[in-house]
Amino acid sequence: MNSRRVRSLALVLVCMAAPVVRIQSQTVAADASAENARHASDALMARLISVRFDDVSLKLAIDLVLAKVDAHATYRSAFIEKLDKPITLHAEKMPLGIALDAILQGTGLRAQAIAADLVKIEPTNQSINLGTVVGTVTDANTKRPVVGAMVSLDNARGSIQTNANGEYQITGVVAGSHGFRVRHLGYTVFSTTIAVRDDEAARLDVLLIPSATRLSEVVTTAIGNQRRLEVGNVIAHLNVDSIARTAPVNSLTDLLSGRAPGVQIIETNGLVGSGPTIRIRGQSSLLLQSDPIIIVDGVRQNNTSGAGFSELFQATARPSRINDLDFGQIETIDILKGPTASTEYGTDAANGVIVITTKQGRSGKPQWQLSGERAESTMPHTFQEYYTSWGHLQNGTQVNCPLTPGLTAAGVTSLTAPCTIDSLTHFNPLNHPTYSVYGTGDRERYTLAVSGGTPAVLYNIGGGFTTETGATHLPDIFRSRAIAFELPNKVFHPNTEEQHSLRANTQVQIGPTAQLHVQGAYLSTNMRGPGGQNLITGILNGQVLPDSAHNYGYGTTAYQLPLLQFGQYQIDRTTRTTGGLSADWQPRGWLTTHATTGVDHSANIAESLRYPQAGAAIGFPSDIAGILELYQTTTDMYSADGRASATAWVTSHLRSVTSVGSQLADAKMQGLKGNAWGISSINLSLNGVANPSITQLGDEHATLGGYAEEQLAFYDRVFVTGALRIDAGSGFGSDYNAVTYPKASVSWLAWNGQGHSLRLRGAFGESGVQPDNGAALQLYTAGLAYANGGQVSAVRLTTPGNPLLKPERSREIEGGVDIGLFDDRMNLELTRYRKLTKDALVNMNAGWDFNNLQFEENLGLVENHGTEATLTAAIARSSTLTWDIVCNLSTNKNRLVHLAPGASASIGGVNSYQRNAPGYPLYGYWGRTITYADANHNHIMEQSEVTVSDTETYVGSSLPTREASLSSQMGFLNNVVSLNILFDYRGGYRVYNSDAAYTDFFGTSQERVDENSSLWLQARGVGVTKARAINLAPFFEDGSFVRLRELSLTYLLPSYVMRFARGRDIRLTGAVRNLALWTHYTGPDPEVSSPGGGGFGNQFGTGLPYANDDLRSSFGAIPLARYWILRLNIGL
Amino acid sequence: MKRMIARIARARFFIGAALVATVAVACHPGDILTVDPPLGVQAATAFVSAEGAQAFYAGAKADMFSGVSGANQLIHLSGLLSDEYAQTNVWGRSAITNVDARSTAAAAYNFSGNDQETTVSALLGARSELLIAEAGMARYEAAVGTRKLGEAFALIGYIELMLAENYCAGVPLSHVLPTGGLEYGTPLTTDSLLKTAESHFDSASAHAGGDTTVTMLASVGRGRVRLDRGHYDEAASAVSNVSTAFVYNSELQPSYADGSPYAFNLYAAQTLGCGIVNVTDREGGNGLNYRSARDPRLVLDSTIKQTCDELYNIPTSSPWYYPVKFGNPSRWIPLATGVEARLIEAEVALHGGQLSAWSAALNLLRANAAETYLQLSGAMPALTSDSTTGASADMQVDVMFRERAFWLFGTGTRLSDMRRLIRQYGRNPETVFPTGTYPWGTLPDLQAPLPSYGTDVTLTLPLPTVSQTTNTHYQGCLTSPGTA
Repeated sequence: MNSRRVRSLALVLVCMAAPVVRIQSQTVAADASAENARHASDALMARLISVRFDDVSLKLAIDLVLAKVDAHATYRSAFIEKLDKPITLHAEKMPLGIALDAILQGTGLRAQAIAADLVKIEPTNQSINLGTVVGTVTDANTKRPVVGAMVSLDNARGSIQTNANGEYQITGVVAGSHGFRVRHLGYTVFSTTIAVRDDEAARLDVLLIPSATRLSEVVTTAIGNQRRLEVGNVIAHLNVDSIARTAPVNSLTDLLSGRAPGVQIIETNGLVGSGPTIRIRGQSSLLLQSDPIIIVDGVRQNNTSGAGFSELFQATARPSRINDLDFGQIETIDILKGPTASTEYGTDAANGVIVITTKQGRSGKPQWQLSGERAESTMPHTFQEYYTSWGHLQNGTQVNCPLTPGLTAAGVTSLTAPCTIDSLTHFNPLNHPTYSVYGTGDRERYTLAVSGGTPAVLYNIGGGFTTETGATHLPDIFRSRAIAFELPNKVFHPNTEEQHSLRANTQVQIGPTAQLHVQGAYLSTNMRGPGGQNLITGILNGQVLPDSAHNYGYGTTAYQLPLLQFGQYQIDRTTRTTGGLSADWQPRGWLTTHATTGVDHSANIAESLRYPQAGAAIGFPSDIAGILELYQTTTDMYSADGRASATAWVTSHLRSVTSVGSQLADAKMQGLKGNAWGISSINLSLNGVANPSITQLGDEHATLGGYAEEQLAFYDRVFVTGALRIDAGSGFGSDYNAVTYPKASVSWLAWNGQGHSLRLRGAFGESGVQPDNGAALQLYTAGLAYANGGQVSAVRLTTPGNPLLKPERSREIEGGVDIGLFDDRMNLELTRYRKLTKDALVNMNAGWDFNNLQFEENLGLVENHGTEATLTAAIARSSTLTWDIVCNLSTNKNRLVHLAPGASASIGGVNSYQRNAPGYPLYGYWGRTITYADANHNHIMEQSEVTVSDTETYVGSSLPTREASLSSQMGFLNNVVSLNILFDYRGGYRVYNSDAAYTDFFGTSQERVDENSSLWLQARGVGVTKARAINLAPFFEDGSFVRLRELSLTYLLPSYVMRFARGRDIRLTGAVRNLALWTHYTGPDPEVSSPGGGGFGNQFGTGLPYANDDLRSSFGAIPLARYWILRLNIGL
Repeated sequence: MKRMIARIARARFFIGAALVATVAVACHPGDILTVDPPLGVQAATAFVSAEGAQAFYAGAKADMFSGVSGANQLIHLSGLLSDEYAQTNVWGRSAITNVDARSTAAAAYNFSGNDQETTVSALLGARSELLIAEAGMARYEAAVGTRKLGEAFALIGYIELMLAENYCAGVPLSHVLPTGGLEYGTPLTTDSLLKTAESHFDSASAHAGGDTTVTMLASVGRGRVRLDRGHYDEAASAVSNVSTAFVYNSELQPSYADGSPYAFNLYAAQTLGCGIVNVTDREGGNGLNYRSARDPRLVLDSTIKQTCDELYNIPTSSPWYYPVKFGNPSRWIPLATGVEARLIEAEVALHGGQLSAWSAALNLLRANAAETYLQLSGAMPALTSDSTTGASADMQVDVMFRERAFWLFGTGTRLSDMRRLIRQYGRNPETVFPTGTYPWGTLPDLQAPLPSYGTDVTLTLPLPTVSQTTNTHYQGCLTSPGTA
């Protein structure tokens, strides 16, 4: 035993001994105090009183007597009230004790002074035998005993708790009728009246009806379903079914947005089918994706990031695989936000776990649920106007004249001769319906589900179909050219998505103790987006004019023309087949077991094509006019999960639950990539094309681990949990075999009574993310080399490997308080957390010695800390009005605490304005600062009046550091009409307005040509030309915004209509998504980014590119559309 | 109480059993976690074969040639710092201008990822790959044959030789461990680096297996090392077995992309719109008259369109010259030649005062010009006695180095020669290297004006803090770039 342990043990012993010492020292004082009290009591009963009353009640008689000596009585009111004998006393200088004896004569009661001014009235043992109340408290649904329920009688002080068998016993009950009440968290309060007789035991067995209080909510964790109360960490729980019926959401990520504090839905762009990324409690990794893992009904799902990437067009829209899931088939979502909650999931779970439970069958006759939806989308944003200055030189030559000498309005060529501005024009085709690529889109969605069964077999089958055409379209002004070049009709509406889903869940009861669940799903997503990186207009041109010579404002640069952007497309077709088999078995009353095995099979085709006609239309040579790139991959994610829990009652109030489990996750990807240039219009395939390039793709990673967890529950109020997880992973180095993650948590229901509750909780936990496949190995790339006049096989060193490589390890501590008020009508859930990710993987450069080979090493330390709060309140509960609000608040401060010397601080060789620098947030924005002064007071900023710093300094976070949402649900007239609103706020971050930077650089912004522009904007524009750089700090603008994300009005059809239609529940909803936006950001939408921010990384090993959505830039990013939705839900 | 103890025991037993099971599963995952590396790359074990070793050698060799003679690589930088080439590429490439203006330290310290860094990195990377390949081929020597083994040793030696000839002292030599991981070497002095190179040339000869190409390749390298170290007699004996017609090219795929010698030739200049080289004439006063000499060994073409001037904002008054010796896409830049062997012998003769032998050696080479790697159409006129035996000692040295400069133009030897003029012949650097006003120092795209030539005579190893922090032994330059 080392010295530290000895010291710790000694400290513990001292702490245990200390109270004993204190108690011994207090004993002497206690004896003296008792002696004094006795003297005082005797003195009280000896005091002489004079009193006179006739025929008063016993209670009044006692009070009158004691009032004479300023004393009081303590007694059970039942003793006094049951005696209706009138009392008469005439006393003159009579000792108090004798007076009281006279009054109590024949009542079976006696008086005893217990303090200098207090008299206790109590029954004499011989005269009264009290009654007893006994019984059991049972859950009305499960028929299992309710442990720890609070049982009380109206006239009894305090209450008692039921034991492990749900039994209670109240003794010493005075005969008579009593109010009887049973309370327990998660159940409706039970109250009744009970008659008790002396010397008898009255029996009252109670069935408690469960009720949905927040703390009693069931959440799904790695060890199964648990009450929220038992879990020491916060878990966001969403009842998706109730949200999805009325909320204007188009995808699962739409549904998550703004509904769980700490869960950030980071939009990429507004194209239909483009999926956002999810960040829970911030970014933790410099190299690995910080995506949470997704589990549906126990089966791990493919959540590949950056999928569907096109090297050719750099991915306009890339679906998030989580959005393949049909939110209409989901019952609940539990979000385990970090290691405190996800320890049992082990490696891969450090970024959180999204646990999805789909709809299950319910016993009874078949219940049908149908829905139909029509929506129209528009692009409500205003885009920056591009300016053209019209001026002349002194010799009269007409020029595009800038406000400040330097670059001309045309951008590149130096203009040194003075010129005079004659007039200004401005235009942006996106702001004019005739010219804009943004118009109106439409969407349809239909779902059908049936649920039913017998207690032996339950089923739920549901399917859905969604089709959407985005708001982007080819402007009419280009239609004739498209037709002339025989472009297909697809180019007129280049952005579409179609989704199909079918899911079936069945549950079979096998004997009294076992259940078998079989689940299967088919999901398909077919998305088509324009093939351009973005939909910019004439930024790169000096004259943005609405005439054919200037392509109606889209400029003369071929790559900006919609004819090209829409004449090339990217398709992402994914079909997923998911199957799962799970079983629950309870072989003993104290032992439950569960096993799940499943597979998520994804087949993906990502096709990028530029129609040769489109290339020809903008003048590309025929040999490069048509391009085709094709990815065909399949990903199989196998998972298996087995667990068992044993419950033991150590004492009648101490319950022990021991759980163990083991999980396997194995993901395999394989496929081919092919591409070719020179595709002809008669053959849009790789077949028959000269020199197509084919690459074989493949990747695999697996984790295997197990855990043991012990939970002790005291009085069903205090829950102490400890767990240990051990993992091995395919990405670990050869010298690193296994990793252990500990966990501990405490949940204490400190107060639960009178309709209010207070819970304190704290948790600590660890989990990890394993390195990329192959990162630990010494790897070589096979290729060709030129030798002896020809090609020979060659291999080259790719990475020297790192045999010590281990997973990134996140350690999280959180603490919080849950307050329930007014019978759960108001709840506050407040949490503080701090997550440290050590051993963060960083790219190390092997140096020149090895031609700067990169290898991964565990050398970084990343911190995330913040606060999360959820306030729910039922403001009104009446037949005419119900009003509920939910307010979520969260903050997150992200910081790269430490980076090893020599580790690469730059990000993937992409842009220089986002960095991972020690002391600053990951992916923070860095730029050169500008100072300015209008020295000559001419209100025109000249280059000499603007100073640009030589070095970049930190400007701000690229992700929101503050989020808030306010959701309001109002129901009118017995909820016949309901109004739901969701406001979403994000703040504390910056958005790189690179559009503005480019227009300043090329002289097409207002501030570069208009002296009426603010000096600040002028300075920003001049700074760009002076520094010849666009990554200046002023372009990283405050991105804070408030968005009216959802607004819906639902009408529940009257009962007679439903009877006529034979329906249970028919609702008509009108809704709007993204109705309004308030922001100081000067671009169109602070929430979006161009794909990958214009920056892309390379997958480890394969070197294949992927879009890194943590790199964010506004360059031509497509804003979020506004949706007008009409929906009909029918329950039959 | 008994019941309670039994319950606790049951729970604890359960926990214990579960923990044991969990640990067993996690610590002995067996094949479940054994996965293939990502497709497109292979684990080291895939190349434990004779075929794998040779494939690795092919890759390493190609990488070395790219580092030596690809665009912007050693021969380019060496030529810029010497008097061979002028900078041609300014926009965003200030480092090249710094090298051309003999301010290599500024380039190295101020611009991460500059060409000096790229070049030394490429060469050292190729060296570490050659070492792996050499070890693999040695394991399968019977199947691979000794020739390649010897060639690999020679190429390792050439990398070390050229790093010593062109860079300041302080280059570390490291290697990849066969089991994974890296072992970093300590910085070496120039002489230590040359000695290391010589030992590799010796190994090359030992493993040549009678192959004359490998033998001569090693011999020329050994001769250069000894010449660089001032061991003249040993230098001459080293190259005596090399035929005049011998040539060993740094062979690269014909392509005008960066990384091939193609970028140096006329075709590249025409295809790219402008080349990356511009041959100078009396650069900085001390430079040789490469253009005006109209020497048949260095035919230049100035007729290519001059779009480069506009592209790089260079005044259009300066015509651009391209070396015709690299006019054919298949004309690679030689790594070693018999011409150099004869020149080494000639210089040894000069150094030994054997003027007749020296003069005869130079003239014999001229007479046999058609047999050299340049394959000139006929013999070159002989040098007169005025410039050889009858000339002053200084002029004889000038003639010797001029002959080397024209015979070996653009092959990466001129910078080493200019350094030797200072080190071994006592010349003042300011009489050897370009000096005075730097003609392209105020071009609009330069980040910092360079009004005059600097004083550097070697390329610079960047500061350790720039990008070479992984090797903790590394210190940057051990000697000043102004030290020959």
